[in-house]
Amino acid sequence: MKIDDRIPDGMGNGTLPDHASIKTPWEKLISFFDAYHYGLRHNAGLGALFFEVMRILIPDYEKRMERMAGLNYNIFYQTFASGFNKVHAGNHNVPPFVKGAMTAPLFGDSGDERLCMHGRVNDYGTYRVEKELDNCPFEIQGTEVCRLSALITEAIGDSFCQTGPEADEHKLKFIMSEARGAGDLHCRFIIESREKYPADDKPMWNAFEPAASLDQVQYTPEEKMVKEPQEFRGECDYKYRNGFNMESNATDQFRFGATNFILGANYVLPTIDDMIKKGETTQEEVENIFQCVFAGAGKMMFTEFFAAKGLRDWLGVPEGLNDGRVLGAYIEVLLQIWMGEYKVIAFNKDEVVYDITKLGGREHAHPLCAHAIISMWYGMARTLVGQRWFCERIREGVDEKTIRVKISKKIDKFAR
Amino acid sequence: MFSNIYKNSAFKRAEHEAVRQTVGWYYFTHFLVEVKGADAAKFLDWVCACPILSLAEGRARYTTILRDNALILDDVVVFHIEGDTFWLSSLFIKKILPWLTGHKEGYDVEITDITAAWDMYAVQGPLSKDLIGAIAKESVEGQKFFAIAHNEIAGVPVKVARGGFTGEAFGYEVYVPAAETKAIRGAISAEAGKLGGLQVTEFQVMVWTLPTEKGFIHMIDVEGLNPIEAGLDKGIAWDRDFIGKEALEKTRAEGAKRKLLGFVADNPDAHIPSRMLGAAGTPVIFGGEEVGRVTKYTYGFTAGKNIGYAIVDAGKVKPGDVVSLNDNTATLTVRVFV
Repeated sequence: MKIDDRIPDGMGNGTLPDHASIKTPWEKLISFFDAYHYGLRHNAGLGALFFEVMRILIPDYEKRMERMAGLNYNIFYQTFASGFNKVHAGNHNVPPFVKGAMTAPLFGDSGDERLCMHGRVNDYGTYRVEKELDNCPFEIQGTEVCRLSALITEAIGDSFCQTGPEADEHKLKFIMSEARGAGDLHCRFIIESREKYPADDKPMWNAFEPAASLDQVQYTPEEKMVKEPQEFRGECDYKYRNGFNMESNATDQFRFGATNFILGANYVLPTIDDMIKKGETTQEEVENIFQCVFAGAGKMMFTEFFAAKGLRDWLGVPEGLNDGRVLGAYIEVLLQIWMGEYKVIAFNKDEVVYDITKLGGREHAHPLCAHAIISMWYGMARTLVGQRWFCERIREGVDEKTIRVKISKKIDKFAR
Repeated sequence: MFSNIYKNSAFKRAEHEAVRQTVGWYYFTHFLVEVKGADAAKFLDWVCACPILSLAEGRARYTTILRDNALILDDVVVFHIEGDTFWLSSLFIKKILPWLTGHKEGYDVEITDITAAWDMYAVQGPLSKDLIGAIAKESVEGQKFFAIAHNEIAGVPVKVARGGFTGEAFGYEVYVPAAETKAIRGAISAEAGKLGGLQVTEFQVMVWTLPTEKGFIHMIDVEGLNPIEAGLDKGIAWDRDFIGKEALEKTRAEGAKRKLLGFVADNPDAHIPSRMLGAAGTPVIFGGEEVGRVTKYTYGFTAGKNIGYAIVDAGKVKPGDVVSLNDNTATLTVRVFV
């Protein structure tokens, strides 16, 4: 295996100012700002595909939501009730006298800004909280993710209602009264106490139930909506800051995993695991569905000639170069955005090989994640590079912790 | 559509008025740092903008803690508990604890986060002295403002500090070992009921409506300001050395370029985003120019107005000027409303 056509690491060091940026194999720089935003939107698309898998497995919306809601509520409740809730509250600078479910929206707020779901807190109190979002990269996933995000924040809120002197006092209902995923201009979380704002109970999955305090909504018109999260706004001194003066910047957010979190996959994968465990589907069936969905999406990404041309420009691919290195460069950019760890084993006109030891932080937690992503790269290879090119995972001679990905030409009479 | 969240809320009004007219009590535990050792007073005197060496045993002092460039790192109440033991009550331990430990070299002090060990209940309002007097073993009749004393409630040893975050002439903070919190809570609650008082349960009342009427600040109001700009320089003893003094003296000589002022909004239903809910706050517009940002905005039940704070360019606006805040007119004021 050989590596060629790459500028050696370190060439030019110290001659020009250093910039925080992603580098393609041809030293084209992708700015931190672009990488951050691109990464989120890409992950949103990936998450959308995970939901498509879920829709194939459970076609009925309500049944699907019921299944995902119960399971994910429990996962988040247990995780946070184990003590992580208090640690996280400390990270958010929440003072000790703030007790109960009203703590959870603070986590939602910082997470929203981290994931470019920027907007504003309109109300924050013991009995009512209102958060309005002007943007959501994940709005393309469908409304399941909106409902689930409201529900799991409620689960986190509930985890705070079990301990301390204020125990059981401040349970809150988390409602999403507007959702960009449903076509609304804003996403609007209204979190209210049924003690002060009575309403009939709705099924757990239905976080879109009407809020009882709609008369208190503070609506931001389109012309006053914000275009970027706090950490990318000069008026905020390029820092996220909550009301308790917790502050973080985009560097912190990136390091915290903003761009390697596939929101959506985290709700789908445990549900699928549960279905396999209960014999409602099989590992083989699920893997096949993942391959169909992700490979199909990968092919479609570059079916149009202008899509491939646009990517080549973005990556700075040299004129005339059209082999596995084009896809390899794209994969490298993604891995850097995901804070992945990889080694270039081969990079030449005949083959490109990477040993990936960290694939966005999730592959070893769940093998289906790697399977899905590599299936997508498989599909991309067929249209981005050409029908003679394949991207596949090589397992022979590779240790279990390493994902070896090879892009090369081959003939496969059973190719999909 | 939107109507004033606070003004129209009967329960928020009731809780607020209990503190102003009778007595209100609430769980109000802050972060608590113990500074102990032979050099504790000397160390705190250097770290705090206000003098601590002169702080008598059993007394408390409000002070800012400054960065080297004189910007406020935190505002705290320092209690001289006894001998070489001091407590710092803070809402910002994440920054203050590393700051203190990072500056203790050369001082014989131990710095410990004791937050988990102590709960605190605020008892505030004109009848608060009656309430504490009825349940405490030792009389609080002669207890001075910003004094802390050992006492006993429901058989539990506690510390009772006179003071609070409501601006009431009479208010107490009861520090109780966390394991005994229920007994104290029960005793306070029962006595409050007898006096016609209420438990304040609404966060907005305890941290915004009550304190804002009296000009109290949170770190979010003064982040990026020095104490002169924030109006928190009263009590600074300039004849001693303290962290940030050199930089602060420059502002003292030249005058503050920014100020933290109050404002009253004219429209009773005005929606004015502020830093207290995160982000940058609404721009303060005067003469078509941005001259500041809103840090706080709430309704003052006693004041009967929508009130708030804004950091403004001191050279461009002053109290009395009418400004525009998110398309609403407001009049700049000093920072006390009742």
